[in-house]
Amino acid sequence: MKEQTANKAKLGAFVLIATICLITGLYYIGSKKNIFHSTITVSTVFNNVAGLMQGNNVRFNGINVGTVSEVYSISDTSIKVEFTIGEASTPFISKNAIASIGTDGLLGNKLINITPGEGIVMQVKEGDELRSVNPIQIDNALRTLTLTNDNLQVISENLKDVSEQFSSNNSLWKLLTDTAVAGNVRSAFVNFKITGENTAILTGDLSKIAKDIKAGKGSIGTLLTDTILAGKLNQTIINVHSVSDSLAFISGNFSSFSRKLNNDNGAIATLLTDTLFVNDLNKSLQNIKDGAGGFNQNMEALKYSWPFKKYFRKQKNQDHKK
Amino acid sequence: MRTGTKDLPSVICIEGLKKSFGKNNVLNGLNLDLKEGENVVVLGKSGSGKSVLIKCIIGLMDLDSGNIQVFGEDVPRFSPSDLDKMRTKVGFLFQSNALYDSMTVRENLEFPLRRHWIKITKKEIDDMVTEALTSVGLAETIDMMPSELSGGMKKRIALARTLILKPKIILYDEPTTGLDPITAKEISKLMVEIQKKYNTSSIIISHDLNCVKITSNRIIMLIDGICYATGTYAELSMSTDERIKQFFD
Amino acid sequence: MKSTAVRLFLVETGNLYRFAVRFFREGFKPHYEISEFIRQCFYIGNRTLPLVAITGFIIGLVITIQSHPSMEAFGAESWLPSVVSVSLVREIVPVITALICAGKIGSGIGAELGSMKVTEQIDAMEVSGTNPFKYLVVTRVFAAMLMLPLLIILSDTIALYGAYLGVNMKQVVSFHLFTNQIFEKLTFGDVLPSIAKAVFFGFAIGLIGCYKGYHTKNGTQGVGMAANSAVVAAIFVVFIIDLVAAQIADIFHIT
Repeated sequence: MKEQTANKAKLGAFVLIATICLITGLYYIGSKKNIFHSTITVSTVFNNVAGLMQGNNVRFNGINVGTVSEVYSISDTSIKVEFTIGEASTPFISKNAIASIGTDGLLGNKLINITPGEGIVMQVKEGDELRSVNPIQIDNALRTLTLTNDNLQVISENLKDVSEQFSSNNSLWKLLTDTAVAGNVRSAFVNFKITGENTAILTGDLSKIAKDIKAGKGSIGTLLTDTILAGKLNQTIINVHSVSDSLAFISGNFSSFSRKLNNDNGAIATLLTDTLFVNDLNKSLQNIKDGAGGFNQNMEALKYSWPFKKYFRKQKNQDHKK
Repeated sequence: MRTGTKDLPSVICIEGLKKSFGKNNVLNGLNLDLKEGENVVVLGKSGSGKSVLIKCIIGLMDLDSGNIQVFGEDVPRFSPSDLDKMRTKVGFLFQSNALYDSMTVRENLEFPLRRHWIKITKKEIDDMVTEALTSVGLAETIDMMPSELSGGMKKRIALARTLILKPKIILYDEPTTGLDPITAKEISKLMVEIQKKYNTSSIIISHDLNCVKITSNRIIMLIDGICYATGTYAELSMSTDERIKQFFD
Repeated sequence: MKSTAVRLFLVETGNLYRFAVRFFREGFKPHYEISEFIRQCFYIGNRTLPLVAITGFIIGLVITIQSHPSMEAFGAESWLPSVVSVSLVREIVPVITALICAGKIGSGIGAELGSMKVTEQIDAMEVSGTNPFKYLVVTRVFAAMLMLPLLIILSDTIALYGAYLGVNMKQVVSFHLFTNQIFEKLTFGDVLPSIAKAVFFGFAIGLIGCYKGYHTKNGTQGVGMAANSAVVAAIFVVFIIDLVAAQIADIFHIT
C-alpha cells in the first residue's frame, strides 16, 4: 500500500514535469510568435507578396515586432496582408511608416520590413493601413543583373579588342609613345598660335593706318610726297604676303597632320581629350579667322580710298604688261 | 450425504451438450446432473473435453448445441450481467491456480469483490479475506506475493479466492495436478471439509485416483464426448468394462 | 506455402483490427479501471524514463556532433542549434523514443499478458467478475497513449540539452542564445504534430502488445513468441505511422 502511494507520487512528478516542459516550450514558441502578448492588427496592400505566408515575421527597423496573420487577394492586382504588432512596439511606429517585403538573409524566409516614415505623425492604431513599397523580387533583380552582366561582357570584350590593337598596331603605339612626334605636333600648334597672333597684330596696325587716313590725319601732300610712308606701306604689304604664305604652309601642314590623325584608329579622340590643347587650338583657329577677315576688309578699303587708287592702278597695269 | 441424493434438487443440469473445435468433436451430446450437496468427479483422458465441460458451465466457452442449466436458468441465454451474477454463485478453481502474480495474496482475494455492484465496506472485505484464508489454513500469508508461496500453498490460496464469495457450486479443474502425493491428499481432504462447511456442490475434474476416492460421491466417465458410465468409486473400480478398467489400474 | 503465409498475415491483420474495434467499444464504456490505469502509467512512464532519457541525451549530442561538419562546410555553423532542434523535435526523438518503447513496453505487455493467458489468469479475472479486456487491455493501451507523448516531451527536452552540449563542443554558444535560437525556429507545427504522432505510437505499441499477449497459445513457448512478435510488429507499425504522419502533415502544410 505504501509502495503504491510512493509510485503514484512518482508518476505524478513525472506527469507534472513533462507537462511543465511542454507548456514552457509552447509558451516560448508562442511568445516568439507574439501569441501571448496583447497585439494590434495592422494591414497593408501589396501588388505582389513574393510568397509571404501566415506566420512570417514582421520587423521594425530590424527588430521582430510581430507576425503575419493573414494574406489574401482583394483584387486582381492587390493583395492585402494583415499582421499583428506587439503593443510594446506600437509607440514607435507611426501611421506613415512604410511596409516592404524582404527576405531573411539571401534565401531565407520572407518577412515584412517596416521602416519609419518622415516627420512626426500619430502612432499606428488597430486597423490602420500602412503604405507599402512593392518588393524587389529577387528574380527580377537577377534578370537585371543578367542584362548588366551581358553588357559588361560586351564591354570587356571590346576592351580586350582595344587593348589587343594597342599591343598589335605599331603605328598607333608609336604615335602615342614617340615623344618626338608629340613634341613636333605641340610645337606646330604653338607656331600656329603665334602666327595667328602676329597676323592679328599686323592687321591691327593696318587698320589703324586706314583709320588714320579715313580720319584725314595729316595732309594729302604730305602723304603723297612722303616716300618713307609709301616705302613703309610697301614693306607692310610684303610682310603681309609673307605672313599669308607662311600661314598657307602651316595650314597645309596642319591639314596633313589632321588627315594622319584621322587615319590612325581614333587616336584623335585620345588627343582631343586633352582639353587644354583643344582650347588652344580653338583659340588659334579663331584668331586666324579673325585676322584673315580683318586683312581682307582692310585691303578692300585700301583699293577704294583715292590716295591708293593710283598705286593699285599702276599695279594693275604692271600686271597687264606682264 | 453419500446416499440419498436422488431426491434433492439438481443445481446443474446439462442436456445434449455438444462442442467441437474444427473437425474435432470434443463433447458429443453429454448429459450431466449435479444434485445439491453432491461431489461429482469427471474422469477422462487428457483431451477428452473435461476442462471444456466446466468452462462451458461457467460461461468461458460457448457451446455449439444442447443446454446447460444452473439453478434452473439457461446459461447460453445469459446476458453478461446475468453471467456475472451466476459466477458469484459458482466458483472455479483453475488448474494452474491463476493467482495474479503482480498482486499480494490479499489483493488476489479481494479481486472477486471488486465487482462494482457489490457494495461492501473495507472492514467487511478484510473480514471476508481473513475468513477465507483461515478456512484454508493460511492466514499468515496475507501480505505475501504468490511467487513466495509453494505449490500447495498456492492451491490453497486459489481455493480461498474461490471461496471468498461463498459459492453454492465449485468447479475444480484438476485440483491436485502438479502436487506431491501428500499435499494432494491434504488438498483433497480440504475440499471435503469445505464442502461440509459451506454445503457446496462440486464438479471435480481429476485423474488422481486418491483424490477421486476421497472427494467423490459419484463418478462420471467421460469417453468419446459422452457420459460413458456413472457410479460411485466402489462401483466403477469393480467394473469389468475395459475402457473403465484402464482408469483404475 | 507462400499463400498460407500471406493468408496468415491477412488473418492476423483482420484480428488486430477487430481487437482495435473492441478496444474502442469497451474503452469508453463506464466502470473505468482507474487505479489499474494509474499503475500502468507508472510502469510505462516512470520505468521507461531512464532508458528514454539516456537515449534522448545521446541522440541529441550525437546528431549535433555529426551535423557540425556539414553545417560548417556551408558556413552555417550559427544555424546548427535551430537546424538540429527542428530535426530532433520533429522526427528523430519521437521515432527513437517510440522504438525504445516498442522494445520495452511492447515486449513487457506481450509477455505479461501472454503469461497471464497461459496460466489462466485472464480466465480467472473473467470468472471473478472483472472484464479482463477492460482491466488489462484498455488500461494499458490508454496508459501507453498518454505516457508516450509525455516521454517524448521529456526526451525532447533532454535531447535539446544534449544538443546544447554538442554545440558547445566546437563553438561557444550561451544557453540563453541557444534557447533563443531554437525557439526562434521551432513552431507549433513542429511540436504539436510530433506529440499527436506520439499518441498514435502509444496506441500502436500498447494495442499490439496486448493483442499478441491476449492471444497467446502453446504455453510458455507461446509467451516468448508473443513478446517477440509484439516488438517486431510494433516497430514495423511505428514506422508506418511515421510515414503516414509525415504525409498527412505535408498534405495539410503543417510545417
